[in-house]
Amino acid sequence: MADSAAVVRELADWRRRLRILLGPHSGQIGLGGRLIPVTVPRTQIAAACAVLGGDGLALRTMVGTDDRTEQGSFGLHYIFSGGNGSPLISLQCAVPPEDPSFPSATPLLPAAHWYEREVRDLLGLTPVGHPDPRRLVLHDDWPRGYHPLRKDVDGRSAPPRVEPRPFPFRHVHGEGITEVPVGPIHAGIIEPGHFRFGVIGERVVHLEARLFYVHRGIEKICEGLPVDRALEIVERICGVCTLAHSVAYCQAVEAIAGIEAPPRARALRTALLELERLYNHVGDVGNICAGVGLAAGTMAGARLKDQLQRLAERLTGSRYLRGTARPGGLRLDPDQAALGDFARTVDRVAREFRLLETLLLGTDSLMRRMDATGVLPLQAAIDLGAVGVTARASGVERDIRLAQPYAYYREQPPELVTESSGDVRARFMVRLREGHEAARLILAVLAAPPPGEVWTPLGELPAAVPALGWAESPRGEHLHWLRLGPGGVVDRLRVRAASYCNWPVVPLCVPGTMVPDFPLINKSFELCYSCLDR
Amino acid sequence: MLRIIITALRTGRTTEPARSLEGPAPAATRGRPALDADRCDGEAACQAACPTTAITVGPGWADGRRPFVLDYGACIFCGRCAAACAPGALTMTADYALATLRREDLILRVAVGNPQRQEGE
Repeated sequence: MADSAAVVRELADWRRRLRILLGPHSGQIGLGGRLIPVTVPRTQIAAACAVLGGDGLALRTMVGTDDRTEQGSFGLHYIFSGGNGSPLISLQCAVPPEDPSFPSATPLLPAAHWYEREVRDLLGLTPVGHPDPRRLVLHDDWPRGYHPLRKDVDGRSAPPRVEPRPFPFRHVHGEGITEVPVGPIHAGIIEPGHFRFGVIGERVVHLEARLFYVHRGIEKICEGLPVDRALEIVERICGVCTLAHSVAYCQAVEAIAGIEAPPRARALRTALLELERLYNHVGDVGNICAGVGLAAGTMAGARLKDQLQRLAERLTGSRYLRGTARPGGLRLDPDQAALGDFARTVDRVAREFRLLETLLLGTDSLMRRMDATGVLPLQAAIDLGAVGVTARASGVERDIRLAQPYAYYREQPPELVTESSGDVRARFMVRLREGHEAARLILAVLAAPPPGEVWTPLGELPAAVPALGWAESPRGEHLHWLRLGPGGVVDRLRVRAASYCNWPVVPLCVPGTMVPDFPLINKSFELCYSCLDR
Repeated sequence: MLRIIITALRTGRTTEPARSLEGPAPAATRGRPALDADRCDGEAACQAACPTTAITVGPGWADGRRPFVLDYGACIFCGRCAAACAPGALTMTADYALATLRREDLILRVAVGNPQRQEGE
């Protein structure tokens, strides 16, 4: 791709420009959620992605837009950032409607693989040279040429359905190899996903997952809604990381408005976000026990989680912290008595969580099952852009609360928790330690919450200015890329949840293990169908 | 294993009675929005605030009154109607036990507005 001298010269030029952007004043720019645009010709988008990847930046999300009405073209936006305090760079190009294709960056930058397949499905922009050109989001009974995120498709109408063609799964052939299909409907209360295991006896040699069965078109139905209305939908993307989604979205709106929520709102956002992390980590530690049939751990985790969700209900009126955040701050301001209840309950549950930890760490049947099971190697986590607990358990030193501090994390930074073995045990340990750290952060914030207002008016909401909002959910970083249209309505919202980055690594961790290990491995990743499918 | 048994014995029974037997939900809980029809001015600020079109007021007035329809089956308990209601006729209650045997029973229909209201006011 970069064989002609002109392209090489141009790449060198970009690198110089980007060095300037990444130079001495990095850490100040891009922190407010505004993106630094770098526009390149369509033919060179893949090469430019490789340059940024080679300069130590990572692809965080990618967004396709339909700008045919305003600019006569489609748009692609690859969002990159580096380590702590790095600016956010939006590498973008226009794609003409008469030739809706672009060179795929995936061969050079594997982390782009799902984003590019999704843009092909939802917007009809073809990544040329993509190593896996199969459908990702759209299922087999959706007609060819129907791309729901195009502006001329009516999001309120049901898509036409056609006779489904069978999905081309990758098969493993050989003597003694059996294929085991599991799902999409499962025995437990989980959401739909289809898993194809290639096995020799009990040993798994291959796993492929087919997902996106519950695509609800959330991004599409947000289009045209005022920012406050879209918030009600964003809060219902997922029941686990509800507040992380709504805070990420609110911060994107605030970045567009050029304002920051007042200190009291930011502090309470941090306390409540950590409450969300704590109750999920407590529940997930219990659920991992379910993967080995240790009912004592599962029940204790569920009981402690419920005590924290009842606290959430007393504080905010919702067990899932809905109706809490709003663009510009919070919808509610708990009084002194409520905050006292908050601190006392968290302190009490955190003590019980310590006792549970001691019990579980001393239970060999649990600890030995988790040891060296479902290993995600560090390099695979980096190459595919894994995030959150999953990445940190494999040794990736990244937490967006520290990398791009938001809410009150600049004032109350969390301790970075990592493990190195990348197995189920490492993910279990990261959750235990992050749970304790979440309780510590809550008590630290509540010890001296700043006084004052919890909401500030948004003022003018400029159109056509893209911004990014983010939050470290219990599963990892959520990114909301938002652009408004005239009148302050949503023009395009791209929700990139943590599970979007972590689902693709699961099939890498399963070959070599036994079929009965899969529920345990899957539970340790704690992946979300709702967040992924949207 | 022994430690787990000892812990279980020490913890004792943790099962609690169902909340409906034990008492009401916390005061902050956003459950069923309740309407005080006498206070309602019929101005339909709630209808404009509702994100799921669960509330329909009107159309039109007759003798200073108009129909008010609230579909609890479409309500997401966000509380925006209560926040928008100037006379304080709609309030969020902590009542969360809304299940009914028939879909129709989830729909509240009342006449609201001030009978003294003059046409064209």
